Amino acid sequence: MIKTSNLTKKFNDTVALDRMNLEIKKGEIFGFLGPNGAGKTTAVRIFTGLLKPTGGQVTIGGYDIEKQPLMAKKITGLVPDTPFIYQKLTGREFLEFVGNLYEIPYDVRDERIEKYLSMFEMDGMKDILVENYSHGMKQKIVMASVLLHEPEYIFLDEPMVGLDPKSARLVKEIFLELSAKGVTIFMCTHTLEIAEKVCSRIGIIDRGRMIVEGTKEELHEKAQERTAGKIGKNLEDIFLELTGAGRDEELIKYL
Amino acid sequence: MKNTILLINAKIRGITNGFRFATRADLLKFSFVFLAACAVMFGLYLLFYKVLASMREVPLMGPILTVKLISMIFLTFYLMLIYSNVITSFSTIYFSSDLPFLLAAPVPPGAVFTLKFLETATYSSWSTLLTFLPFLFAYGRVHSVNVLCYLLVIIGLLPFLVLAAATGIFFSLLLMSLFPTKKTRDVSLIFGVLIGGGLYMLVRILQPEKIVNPEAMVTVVNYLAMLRAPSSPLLPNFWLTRILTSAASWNFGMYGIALFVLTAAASVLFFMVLVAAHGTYYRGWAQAQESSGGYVPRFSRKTFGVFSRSPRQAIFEKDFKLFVRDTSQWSQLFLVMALVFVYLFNIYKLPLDTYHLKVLISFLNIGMAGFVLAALALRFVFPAVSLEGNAFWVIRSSPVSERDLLRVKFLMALAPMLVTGVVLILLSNIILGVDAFFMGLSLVTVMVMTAGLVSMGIGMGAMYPRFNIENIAQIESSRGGIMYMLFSLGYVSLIIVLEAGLVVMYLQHKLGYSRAFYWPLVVLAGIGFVAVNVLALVMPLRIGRKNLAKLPF
Repeated sequence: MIKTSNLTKKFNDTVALDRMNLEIKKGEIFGFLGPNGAGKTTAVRIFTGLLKPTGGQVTIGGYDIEKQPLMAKKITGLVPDTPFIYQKLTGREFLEFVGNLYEIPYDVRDERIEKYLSMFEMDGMKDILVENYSHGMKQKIVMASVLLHEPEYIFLDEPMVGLDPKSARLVKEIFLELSAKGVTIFMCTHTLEIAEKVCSRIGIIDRGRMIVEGTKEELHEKAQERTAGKIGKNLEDIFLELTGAGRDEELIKYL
Repeated sequence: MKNTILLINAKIRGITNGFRFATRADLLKFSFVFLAACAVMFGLYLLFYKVLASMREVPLMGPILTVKLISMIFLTFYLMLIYSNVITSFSTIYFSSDLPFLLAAPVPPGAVFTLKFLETATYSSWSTLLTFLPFLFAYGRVHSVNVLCYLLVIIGLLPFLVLAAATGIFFSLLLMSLFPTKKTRDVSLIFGVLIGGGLYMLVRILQPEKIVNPEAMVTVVNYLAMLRAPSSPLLPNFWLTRILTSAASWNFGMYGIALFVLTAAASVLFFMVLVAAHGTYYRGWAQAQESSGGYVPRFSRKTFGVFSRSPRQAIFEKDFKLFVRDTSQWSQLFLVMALVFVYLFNIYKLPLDTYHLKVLISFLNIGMAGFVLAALALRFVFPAVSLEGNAFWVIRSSPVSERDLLRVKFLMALAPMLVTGVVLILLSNIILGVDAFFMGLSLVTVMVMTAGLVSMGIGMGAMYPRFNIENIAQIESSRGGIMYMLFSLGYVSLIIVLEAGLVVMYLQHKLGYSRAFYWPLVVLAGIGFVAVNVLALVMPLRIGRKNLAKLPF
């Protein structure tokens, strides 16, 4: 389970996360939505130990990310929003490196590397330096690296950016398969269509505060309450209504 | 022109915003670095003042020697500037991260090139300027010049800087036209470093110190011939020297001529570079973006069996591969070799006749080796953490502790640094022919000191990491780099001070003093030595580890 209690993060005077409380059960795919600058990436960075919270607590699989970071990191995997990886390693070497960081036995590691490289159609590029990869190729390598140590919790920050349609579909199928096996997935995304199709629960954050959280149906009900039944079932409409983006329509008329 | 000004304004706005939105902590840190830089400049000023003042005292030859020395210093500045411009220009002109945005905008490539030319010249010149100013003020004080003289010389310095930048950038344009791929940068870096190392060795072998020692030359003719050597009017240092001397003596006619020659040469070369860039820059940039492909050396697992299978071993393997494949890093080893060669050459050439002089030099040699090692550590050890770059998230989000990360980086840096330190001390002591006591003392000290310097380098590198940089030189010249340099120089000086008493006592003992050793002082110095080194070994790594753990990424 991923659990946060009163999770707060401040950058000087700016509140990036404001007393966020969240519980995500094992095997859930949780979609984390919000406008730009809402606090999504900040939350992912705290969950994966890249950032320290200003207040509150986060536990991943029962491990407090601040007090037992190494234990928590052993069971988690991260796909960041920008796939920065070591430019002077080849794709295969990068995967070997990650496998060794997680102490996967060599034979198991090599077997999995071959499997994932083949799955993401990166066989032909595996011995080329990463500096020659496209954004999408780097994203595929990072995606393969996160699957390598079979984490129980996966954190994804805009995982579909840069992926071609075939790979994007493959990734969606992988998420569903992993979820069925009990892996918990926390996914930040702006691609509402993916959130709608893949996520079992969705949370919407705006200016650091979790404004709504639940299944798609629950979100629809809440949006209905706010608009006196005028909103459709489409997640995009619900999202725009709940984050107040509808106000922009007046401005757009001036274009 | 309008576009160039627009681009320059955006850069200037970026710099001023850095101050406008600085927090109190930022301003405090900036003030500290500013004061530290002022302290270093003041130290240089004192050094230059002493040299120039003593030269002026030399009967008859004083003024000639002074002009000669200035000319040689300016020639060194010029060569350093060209070298620095060549190295910097590749990252700035061809691989800067804002280039895709700028070149996709409706701005002529010429305007972008001019902006990048100015950026290169600025990045390459600021450190030379920090050395030039103390020199200028020292000269001014020795020759009692007035304020206007400083202004006139600084005006004259500008075309000198532009000339050096244009020469260096012209060279990199030429190379990019000849080898238009990413590999060019690697090839050019190796060329650049080899040329830099070669020039350094050449200058040293010419033994410029002989100009202040006429007796060393066999005949007056030889001496005069040597004095004439690097003063060709075809070289910019000749004209900058004229600018300085004519401004100091109020010879406005000569000042005007010298300023005109330098400005004209700088303008002509600048426009030549612009014309050359007009035809080649955009093509060169576009081709530089293409993948180089090519052969990637693979390493067998057996090659790296250092830490057994563990995350530490993984980091070691990764860092080794990155070092070997990054030309900008390993090519600098040529410079290290040149440095070691020149260092030993200097020791070899020292006129040492007596045992005591040899012992004194051997002792001071520990300090000199310490300063050399500190400079190497600034280049190779301090950036170790920052070089993780934007990929640091990989290690940070994995189950690897900051302790393990820093431990691997410490051990990886320690081995080659120890070899360098021991080779420097061992060979120089063999050349000097010192006794076993000094050999032992020097070797133990240099080994302990190397460990201290490496610990400080890794620890302070973790205290002041710069993950988001395009050029390794930016790490060295960062706030943390300057702090490291100051602390490491202080540390080496402290070690020498702590050992000085013991050395004096040993010499007195050799001279036959019956009670040469004053044991309380020996014990006190020993305790001080251990305390300073334990602090240097433990504290930086500990503070660095804690800082890295709480660092937002």
